[in-house]
Amino acid sequence: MIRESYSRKAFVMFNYVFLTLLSLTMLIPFVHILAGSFSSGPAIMQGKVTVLPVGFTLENYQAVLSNWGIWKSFGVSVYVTVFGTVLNLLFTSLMAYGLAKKDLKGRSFIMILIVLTLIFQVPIVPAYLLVKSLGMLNTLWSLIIPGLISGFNLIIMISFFQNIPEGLTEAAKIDGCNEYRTWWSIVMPLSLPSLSTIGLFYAVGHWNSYFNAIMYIRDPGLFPLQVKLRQLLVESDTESMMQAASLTLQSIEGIRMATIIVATLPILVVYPLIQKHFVKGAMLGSVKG
Amino acid sequence: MGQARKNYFLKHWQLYSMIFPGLLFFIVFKYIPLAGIWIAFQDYNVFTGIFGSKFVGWKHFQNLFTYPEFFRVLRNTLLISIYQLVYGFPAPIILALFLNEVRKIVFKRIVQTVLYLPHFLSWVIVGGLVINFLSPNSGLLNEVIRMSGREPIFFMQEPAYFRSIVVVSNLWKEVGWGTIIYLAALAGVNPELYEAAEVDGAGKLRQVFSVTLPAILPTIMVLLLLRIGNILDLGFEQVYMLLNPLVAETGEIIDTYIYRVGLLGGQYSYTTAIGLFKSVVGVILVVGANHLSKRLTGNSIY
Amino acid sequence: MSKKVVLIFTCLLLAFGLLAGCTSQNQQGGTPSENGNDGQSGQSEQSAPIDLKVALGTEGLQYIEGSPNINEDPYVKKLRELSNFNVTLELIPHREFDQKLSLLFAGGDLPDLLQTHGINKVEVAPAVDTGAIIPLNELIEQHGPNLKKNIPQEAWEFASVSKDGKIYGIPTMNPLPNGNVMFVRKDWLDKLGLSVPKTVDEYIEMLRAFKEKDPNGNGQQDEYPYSGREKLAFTEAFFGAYDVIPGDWKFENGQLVPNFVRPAMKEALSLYRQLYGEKLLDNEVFVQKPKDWDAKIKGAGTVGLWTHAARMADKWSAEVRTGTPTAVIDVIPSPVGPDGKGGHSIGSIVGGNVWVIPKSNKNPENAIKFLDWFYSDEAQKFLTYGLEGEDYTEENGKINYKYPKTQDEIYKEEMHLTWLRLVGPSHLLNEEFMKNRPSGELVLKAMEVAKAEGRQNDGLGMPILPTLQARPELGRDGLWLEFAAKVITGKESVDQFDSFVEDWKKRGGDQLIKEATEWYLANRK
Repeated sequence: MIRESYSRKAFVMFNYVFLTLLSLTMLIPFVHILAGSFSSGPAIMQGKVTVLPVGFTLENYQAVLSNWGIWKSFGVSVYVTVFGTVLNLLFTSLMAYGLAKKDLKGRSFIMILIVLTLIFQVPIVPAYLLVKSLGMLNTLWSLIIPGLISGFNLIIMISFFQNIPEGLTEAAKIDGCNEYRTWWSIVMPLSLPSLSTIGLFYAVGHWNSYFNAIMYIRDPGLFPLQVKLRQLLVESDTESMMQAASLTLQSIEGIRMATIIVATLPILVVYPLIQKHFVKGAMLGSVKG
Repeated sequence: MGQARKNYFLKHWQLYSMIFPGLLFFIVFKYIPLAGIWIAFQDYNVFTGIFGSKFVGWKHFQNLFTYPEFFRVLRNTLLISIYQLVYGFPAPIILALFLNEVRKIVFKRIVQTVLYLPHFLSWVIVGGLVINFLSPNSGLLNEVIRMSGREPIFFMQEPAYFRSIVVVSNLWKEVGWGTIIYLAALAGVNPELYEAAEVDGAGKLRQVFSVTLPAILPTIMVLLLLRIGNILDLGFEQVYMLLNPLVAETGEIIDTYIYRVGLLGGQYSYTTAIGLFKSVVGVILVVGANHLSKRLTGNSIY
Repeated sequence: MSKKVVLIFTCLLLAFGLLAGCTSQNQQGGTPSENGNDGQSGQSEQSAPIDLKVALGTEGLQYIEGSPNINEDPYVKKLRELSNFNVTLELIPHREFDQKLSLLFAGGDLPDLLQTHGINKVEVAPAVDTGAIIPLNELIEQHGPNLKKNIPQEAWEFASVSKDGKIYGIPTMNPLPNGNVMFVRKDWLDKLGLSVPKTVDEYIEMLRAFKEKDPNGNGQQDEYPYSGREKLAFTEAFFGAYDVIPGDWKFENGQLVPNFVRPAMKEALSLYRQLYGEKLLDNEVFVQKPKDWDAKIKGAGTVGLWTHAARMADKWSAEVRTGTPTAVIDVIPSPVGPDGKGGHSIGSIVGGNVWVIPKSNKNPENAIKFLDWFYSDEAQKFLTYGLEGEDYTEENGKINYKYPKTQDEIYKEEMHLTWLRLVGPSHLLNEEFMKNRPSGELVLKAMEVAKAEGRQNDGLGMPILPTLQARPELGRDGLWLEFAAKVITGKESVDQFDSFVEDWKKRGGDQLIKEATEWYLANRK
């Protein structure tokens, strides 16, 4: 017994140390970028910035945030992310529930169809023409509908649903619930971990989306955040000699760093907020007898 | 037979109605545009469109297979992908298991959040970090090497190191994010199973093998199978950022070749053909793997 | 439980409504009514302004990207007022310009006047063949007298502008076809008592001094005498000395051959090997990203010599000084080789943008007239100096221009100075204007230096050859770059050059030469 608790203690120690070290390696680049975003141009250029700001200044954030377009696009992104994710979860979980039943006739066939969509890439021009013909061009729908259900997320959700003991769904049916009711009242509440996870995946996908917006949207007022941010960064010397690149008094690097922070901070805080749904033993006490 | 079939569908109409909207979505938004893959067999341009462009059969595929470096490119793609599978696939699982053992909630939450930070950085940034880290003049790694009295190594210029650099940097960037899904799976494991195992005298490590892993095996297999389907799909951005002419031998992959072709502009047909090739390989592998998985573990995607 | 349902559904409904609202917000600018009936001359009378939809790229410029609505911008409004055209601008994102252009053509929503990067670009070339954009010869004759007068014949005939004698585009002009020059840290030259080098050997001496004599005075040998970027971008000065700029072609012995397989390339590679070996050339050059190169030159100030655009001399001067306040930048002639000449590749006098008119435009003459206006004095004054009162004041015919000082002013100037100038002579040619700019003299000097040197590219204007499309590795950035990198870093001997050429030829290079020669004989004689 004593030996066991020693080795257990050693393991716990090791675990903490290991995780801390690993976290540090992940954290440092981010801290560096954060520091740089608050640093003055010359300081960054001269490589003086490591983990603390040098020549503290808010000018980088000013450059990024004083832009009216950024705020509008921020709103667009939040809107698309929230609304889009809700729709994603709704349709994905609905379909996943239906497909979770392993012996449903035709299931295999449908699964194959879905898997194939993950392996074959849709070429750009036909996708564009489809969106155009559906009249979604230059609307926010074009950012939501074409990605309504991700095959990958769907398959994962199916797998999660299959992990729910059949006893529970059987009990519900005996109590008179139809499939929809079972789905909504029993399965969904029990699936908070997976819903949170898949929801996070979808949300991050929406938040980071860039290429779709470039393709389908023409009205600058409808651009999501990532588009606006990336275009705000002047290419530091492209090889094609277009018109003169302007003189920049501030360091582009500083603005670039501020851009990264602005672009990622909002979505970063989502995960911690949903972590509480990853409660172990969510099903404790539900399958008795 | 027909009547029995009909009865079956009617009996389960609700399930089918739940599936239907999604299915419609896939057909409209995936399968209809997928017909566009046809341009791989044409000399397509946007002006003559799909119906007007000339049909050229296997021309583009022939072109691909007679590319003198085709095998090099294919080999590099496969090797990097397999390395990533071998090292990068288990890593998030193991990390998730470690994380799962943490009792202090605050520490766990903080670590979880920090670990997935690099996922949000683009490869433009991380690539730059890697190059700087490995720089012979100012890079940290070579500082350490210098301190031990040896000559700095120009890692980024040695073909032998390239694949490792790609795999390790990818691991670093994505391992945290990868744990999320496993943590969700772990949260769903019935604690009673652990209690039962402990009663049976199993130590912590034993429990991992006898309770935890089997419980999340379905999740693991599904993810593994999906990964295999995309085996030739390496992250283009990553390799592109790290690639340079000196490591082309081990670093040039299918996607960087596509990029090279695409740079010349308007090569929709050729690039689509290459993409099609990748997909076909992926399908073959997934079918095989799915079959195997069904036999060995009882899990499969379809 | 049902409360949750109600909540969700209400949210969905609200969202629906919002979305519907958003989608109807995509009208910009004026209503497209046609009223372009000026009759004959149409320039003298102030008739009602004509509507014109123009699509153009943002060029990544801050001012444009940051503008809430470019069509409400004061400069654009003034443009409408002065030109008497009711212009609606539609912006194309800078980075995905080519792709977006392709999609525009595919989708068929074309404006009256469209910006492209040349009609011979692969996205646009089929538009010519299928008639999606119209020939302009007649229209220019009738409605574009200024265009005709100011744009030289050579430009009209260039491959990115016309095909088979038919003009399809109105080009912008490039005032500096040989754009790249050598920038050097004059303060280092002075400190070490060096004179300006001319030949390759003198350059090597200078670079050695940079390396060994610690010009930045920090006691460390941390200087990078000559630095460049990955893919040997902006690192071609010494190729120029031997007249083998890698991306260019030369017509000799009856064939059009790429420079990188010509014998002189062997010598050039030897030289680069030497420079690399002595660390006179930054040893990280093959992995160097633009950002890092910038940091070395401007931030750390450890680079003594580099290559870049002449017209950015003022930018370099100011930016290097932010990192090293005592630095002095100068422009010097490129190293000359055995034939006494040197310099970088001489490009076309045609600029990067070529305007085309889609077939869907019912009144193409309006687009021509609009562009024609840009060559007027009135237009020039507005584009160069901006808005009277705000950007400049005029006294007795002399203009007092407020040169921009803050970042915002710089972006604003850039907008009307370069971006809004759809066509027309570049401000770089306006000596009066340039002289009074901070470091304007340096830019003028850089332009002089650039004009006095340079290497001709016999392959200028050549379309992408079929063999290259099938075998992109035959190009500069493929097999040659791999070989050059190995030689320069010492991994392979330069004596392998001949077998490299053999191999290249066997893999399709011969075919490429054949196609190139055919093109040359048909087009460039």
